[in-house]
Amino acid sequence: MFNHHLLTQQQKADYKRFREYVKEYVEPFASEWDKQQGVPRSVIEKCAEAGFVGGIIPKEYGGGGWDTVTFGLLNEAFGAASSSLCGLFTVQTMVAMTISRWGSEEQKKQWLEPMAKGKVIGSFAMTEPKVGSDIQSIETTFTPQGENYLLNGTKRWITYSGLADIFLVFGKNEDKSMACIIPSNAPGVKVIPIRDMLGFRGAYLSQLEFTDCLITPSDLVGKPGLVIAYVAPYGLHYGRVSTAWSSTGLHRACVETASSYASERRQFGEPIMEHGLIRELLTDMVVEMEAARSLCLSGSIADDAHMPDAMEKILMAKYYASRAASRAAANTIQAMGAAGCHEENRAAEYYRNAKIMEIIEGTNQVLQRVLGKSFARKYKKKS
Amino acid sequence: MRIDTISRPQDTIRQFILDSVNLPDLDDDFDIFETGIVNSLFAIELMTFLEKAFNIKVTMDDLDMANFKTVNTTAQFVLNKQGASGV
Repeated sequence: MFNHHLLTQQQKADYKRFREYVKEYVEPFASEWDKQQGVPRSVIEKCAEAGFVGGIIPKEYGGGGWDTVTFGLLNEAFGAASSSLCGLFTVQTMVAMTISRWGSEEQKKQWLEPMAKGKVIGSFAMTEPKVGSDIQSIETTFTPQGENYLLNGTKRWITYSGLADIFLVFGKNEDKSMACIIPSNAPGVKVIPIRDMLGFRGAYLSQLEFTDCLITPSDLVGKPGLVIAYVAPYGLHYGRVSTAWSSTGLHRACVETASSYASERRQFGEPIMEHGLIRELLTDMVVEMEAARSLCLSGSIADDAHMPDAMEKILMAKYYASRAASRAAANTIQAMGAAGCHEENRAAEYYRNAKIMEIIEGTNQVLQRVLGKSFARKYKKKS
Repeated sequence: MRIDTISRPQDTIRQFILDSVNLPDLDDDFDIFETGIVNSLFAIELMTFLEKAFNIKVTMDDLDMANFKTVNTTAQFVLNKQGASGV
């Protein structure tokens, strides 16, 4: 149980509730969702009824009004059992918080309340076949037509887009970055499911094709030209909060699996836990898990306090927690040997999902590029 | 991070930028975004700082890089917001 002294009593109580829910309604079924490559809509509806899908959406729009720490704890609890289901909390929050911060009052009224209740699922459509982290080079176009625009382009690897009701789509009008909300059933929208991903198999990744989709000014989010500087980073920030905490949950699942196996598995006449090399693996896994949790908590508390450096702290948390989870998953398989390499054991699924954590919401190499530039300046001794 | 707003907005804003980019000094008319001294997160970090330090809310209508490109334009933006809201 994650029981940090910096958590409030309410946060501890919420976390306990999340863990109990996951134990009863997620853990027993998550492996099957991975095999079937889809989290059932009924599971999402049940999560919505429990208040988990729109927990962080402001209360005035029907959400739970959670702080960032509580949202993080939700992701930790669910991330240990189902990265695919956790991916829903990631994208729903990315879209909802972007609308909450930069949407018009009409957009907030139209979308946030149904999103808070899970009646509308949102998906964050940024990545393209040729454009990943380099969002300045985005190729999707908004072409002016009178006072409206025609949206054309292709998005790929979009989490939960196969199930989503609305997409938050990013593109450009010449050199001006733009974003809009478009329903998934709008004319000109085509959704092509992508199966057999390495991880996040139940998270409905799809390719989206937009052909001459009519976008009115009321569909736009943020000011044209300032979307890459202000709108996209805001959504990505909450995506990283979710991914960082979800990684720590996945990390915990690895620790629990490896510890249980090492306590029961006997070699050379004793449990392998008694072997120094296995103890070393477990020691590294748990110390890194604790470090990742501390970074997540530090960033989330900074976010709740509206501190300017919250975004950078969350970048660090996502960077470290995803790498640590990936190492933990690899170590779990190493400790389990051949048993860890078969899909009958969830360690294999953890390993596949952990790799995805290092790629989504900005690859760790892009985060190194951003953080490295910042740190080089920040820690340079003044002459 | 301690936020001190007792001094003029220019002083508070300049100090935040100097701390962020670790420069010894900064001209109040220096364009911080054109010159690449800040990273891609800085636009939102500055916005968050202004909201917290000066108790204002930056809205979509305020989003104009001209408002934030120098210490002087940012200070003027803050004064305008405070004047509009009666802070």
